[in-house]
Amino acid sequence: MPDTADLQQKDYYELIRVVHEIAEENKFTVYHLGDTKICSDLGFGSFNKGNTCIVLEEDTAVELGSPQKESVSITMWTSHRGILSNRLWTCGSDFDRLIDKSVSYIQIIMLGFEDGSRAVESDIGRIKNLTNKLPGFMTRNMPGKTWIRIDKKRMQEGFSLYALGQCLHKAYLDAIPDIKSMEIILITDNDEFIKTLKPISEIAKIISGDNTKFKWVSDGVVTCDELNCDSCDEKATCDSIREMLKKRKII
Amino acid sequence: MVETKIIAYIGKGGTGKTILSALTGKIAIEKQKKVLFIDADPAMGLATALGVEGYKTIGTAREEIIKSAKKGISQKNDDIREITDYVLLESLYESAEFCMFVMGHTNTIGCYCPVNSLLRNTIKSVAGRFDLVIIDAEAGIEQINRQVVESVHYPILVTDNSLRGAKTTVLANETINSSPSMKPLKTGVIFNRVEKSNEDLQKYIEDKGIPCYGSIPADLNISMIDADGLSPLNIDKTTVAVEKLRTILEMNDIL
Ligand SMILES: Nc1ncnc2c1ncn2[C@@H]1O[C@H](COP(=O)(O)OP(=O)(O)OP(=O)(O)O)[C@@H](O)[C@H]1O
Ligand SMILES: [Mg+2]
Repeated sequence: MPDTADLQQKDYYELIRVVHEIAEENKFTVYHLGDTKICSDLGFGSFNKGNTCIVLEEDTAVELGSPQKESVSITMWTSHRGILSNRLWTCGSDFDRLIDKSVSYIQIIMLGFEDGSRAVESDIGRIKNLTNKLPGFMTRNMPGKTWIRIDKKRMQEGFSLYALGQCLHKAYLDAIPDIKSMEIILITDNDEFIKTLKPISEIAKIISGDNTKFKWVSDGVVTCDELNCDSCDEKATCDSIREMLKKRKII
Repeated sequence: MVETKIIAYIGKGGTGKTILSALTGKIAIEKQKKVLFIDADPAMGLATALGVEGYKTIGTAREEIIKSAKKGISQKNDDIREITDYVLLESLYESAEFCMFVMGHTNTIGCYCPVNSLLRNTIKSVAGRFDLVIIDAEAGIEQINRQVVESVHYPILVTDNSLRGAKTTVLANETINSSPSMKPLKTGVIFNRVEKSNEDLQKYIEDKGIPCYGSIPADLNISMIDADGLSPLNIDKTTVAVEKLRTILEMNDIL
């Protein structure tokens, strides 16, 4: 077994510095993170537990980073002190000003930990999913991509990049109180940034993969009791998935 | 939260499952219901009939999930679930009138039971947003049960005036009843494309405890739609097949 503690320690420091340089060279609107009032005004909090909220196309007012559009989504952490300072950087038209209902989207979340081993990769990746936390809001994530739908009611009641940034911040602080500082970058409808940031997202994926590699645990969703698999071509793969589930005491 | 009703059309090949699925959707849409079609026939006849194109099938989605599970033996189960949520929504065809999942070729040999249950769970949560789910199935309920939804509220068996049709109907009903997770509220038979159901066949079916809902005659408007390759959703709503089907569905509290 490789040393998992060592794998865990791969810090995104260098990558965060590159992202900072890009951000500072360009025109961003910068806000301070930590407006919890707007989060409670929006009804942010866990609701609708157990049933995944789906915003259907016909109810959608704004769609970000859908499979038909580009999307870059990066979550990184560092335990270097002093480089993250609770800033929210935004660029591009705000949600109520978008020319198209569906546009490309970039979301970068950077977290500062005192102790890097506290950063469990796939956990910190999943917290950015605000489905069932924010009414009228749906997130779908794939590695490196985030697809968001905001429904008409949510938009009518008022919503913005600023509000989204504050909610993401709150989601992280609620889930991991150990977070010392945080920065978020949100960009709508900008092909240039997609080009610049895609390669960074690829590097982040590799680091993330290394970090998670031997650190996975599972929680139960699946069972397998309905079929006889002896004659199946895919038995080997299926068995390995099943083995993983068994090890994690899921089946 | 809406109360979702799930209907599935089951029966011998060529008896009218696809057209009745489409017409049921038409009737429901006219009643302002939110409709989700599931084309569970690998031949994808319903998608074709309704002019649905450019979709990603559930079969493809399933391959992608399996691939990502293979690749990332490091993947957490929760991550696989997130990927499932993503690709399944990607597979959902959405138009102003209706939504649809196309199952496609789901490669029954590579069963991946864990992935199937994950997909079923996710389909269920999407289906929960609709008033009505209409499944155009192949002859068997087993595949629906395994890959689409655990249970169907209203299995509707479709037959013609042939003994083979009636036998298929009886067999399908037995499968439904013997499947532990299937908890149908009501199962019944529609004789399609016949002026009147054959009395002997009807008795044969009813003797097995399956109610006959009624019959739908051959309808020229259906043949015309067929010939011109038009969507059955555009058929005249007063045409005899639609009227008959509407009556059957309403009388049996299905719609
Ligand atoms: N009541 C009807 N009047 C006229 N034509 C009909 C009627 N019912 C079905 N048809 C036609 O019969 C043919 C077979 O119907 P359909 O495709 O719906 O059957 P199916 O059960 O889905 O077949 P398969 O098993 O091949 O998928 C189609 O061309 C359809 O339009
Ligand atoms: Mg068919």
